[in-house]
Order: sequence, then structure tokens, then C-alpha cells
Amino acid sequence: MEFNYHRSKHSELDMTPLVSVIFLLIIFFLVAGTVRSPSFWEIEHPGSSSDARVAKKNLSIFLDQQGKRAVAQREVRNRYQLRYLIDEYSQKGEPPSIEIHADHRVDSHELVKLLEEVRSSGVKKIELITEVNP
Amino acid sequence: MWFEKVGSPSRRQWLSLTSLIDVVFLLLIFFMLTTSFSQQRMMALNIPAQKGEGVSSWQGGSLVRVHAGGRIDLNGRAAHLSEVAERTRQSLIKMPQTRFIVRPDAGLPLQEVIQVMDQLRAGGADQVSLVR
Repeated sequence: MEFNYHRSKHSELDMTPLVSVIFLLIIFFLVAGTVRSPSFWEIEHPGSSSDARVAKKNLSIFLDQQGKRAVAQREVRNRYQLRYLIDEYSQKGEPPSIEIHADHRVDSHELVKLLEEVRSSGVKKIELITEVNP
Repeated sequence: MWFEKVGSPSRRQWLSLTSLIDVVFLLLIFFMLTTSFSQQRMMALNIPAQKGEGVSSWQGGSLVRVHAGGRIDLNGRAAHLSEVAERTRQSLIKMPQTRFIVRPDAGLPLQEVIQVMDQLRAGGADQVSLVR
């Protein structure tokens, strides 16, 4: 029996199909997904059948599972800090429009407390970010 | 002077794909990590008036209480989640522009409240407030 021990001198793996597949994957991720905006905590939004598209807001408030709050990548520990942040916006003109990213497991009273505090700062427009139900 | 002969390259020259693949892999990893497939929507939250604050928006509203274990009271009468939309529609026929005030029990996860608010909206309610 004869084996072909010596293959051709320049036996390189053909990379072309690999590149094609990877390009397809990149295009898939580009087209199918949206680039995630950085969030302070990993928040799982509540599912809802609401179909209003997300519009850009001045201020994002994050509310995590334990009821901790964060604004602009920093944890907000008390109501005065929150008030200060909102007042800063209000001084520039209009009170800010606010979006709330609340975890679906958070105590709903924590959200109501947050709403009351935000209201007392003069904010009129608040949206809760939800996720489309699968 | 020495010129290279034009038109007949000595050997077939292959473009090296290695560096291209490096870059493409980096791009792939970047997009895999930053892409999210979640579809976000938003829900307008009417801010509740606190008790004793001006003209109470509680007046004339329908109170929807959400209890633990999925029990719902719509204007004091027990209702299942699946009935809420229909009952809302009926009460809106009788009294259009009714404000619905959702009042969850303490410690109730937000998701259960959002479900109820979804049903109210499905029944045509556009003024839904959340109070405690």
C-alpha cells in the first residue's frame, strides 16, 4: 500500500470561507441588534404589551431589585441628592423628562416612592421602560 | 538602471488573510458583546397626587387594588386578571374619562402591577395612576 505522506509544499488552510462566515455573523449582529446603552446595574425590565417607542429623555433613573437608585452611573443614596440632580436640570430651563429603568422584581412601593419624590421636584413627564413580552 | 518586467509576475501572490481575520474577529467579538436583542418600549406613568395635596386626583377615580397572590379588587369587587380589561371597558362606557388608581400591596413585585396596568390600558383606560 502506498500512502501519500508528502502533501503539496504549501498546504495552507483556505481562509476564504471562514472570513465569509464571520462577515455574515457581523452583518447579522449589526442589523438584528441594537447597541446596548451602558447601564449602572443589570436591570431586567418588566414585560408589558405597551407599544410606545422609547424616546430620548434628559435623565435616566435606575431602580434595582433591592430598591437602590442610581442616576448617571452613580448611586443616589438619599432624596436630597436626587432632588439636587433634578434641580440642576430645572435651572437650565424646563424640568427634565425622566425615564425610569426599574427591575421587574422591585417592590412596587419603591417605584411609587420614587414617583412621589420626582413629582415634588416639579417633573411632569415620566416614562417607565418596559420590554416587549416574548 | 534595473526595471522589473511588467505584466508577468514571477509567482502567484496570495494576499495574506491572517491580519484581516484578526480584525474581523475583533469586530465580531465587539458586536457580540454590545448587541442586545431586547426590544424596549415605554409606558407613561401618571404621577399620583399625594394625599391632601391640592384637588385630589383620587376623587371620582376607580380604585384598583392589587393584592399578593394575583388577587385584584376593581372598585371593591374581586376580579381575575383576565376580566380586568372587560370590566374596564364597561365602566368606561358608563363613565368616560375615568381615572384608574392602581394601588398595590406593599412588597408586591413590579411585574404583577404592570400586568394589571396593561389590562387596564387594553380596556381603553388612558389615565392610570400608581399610588401606595
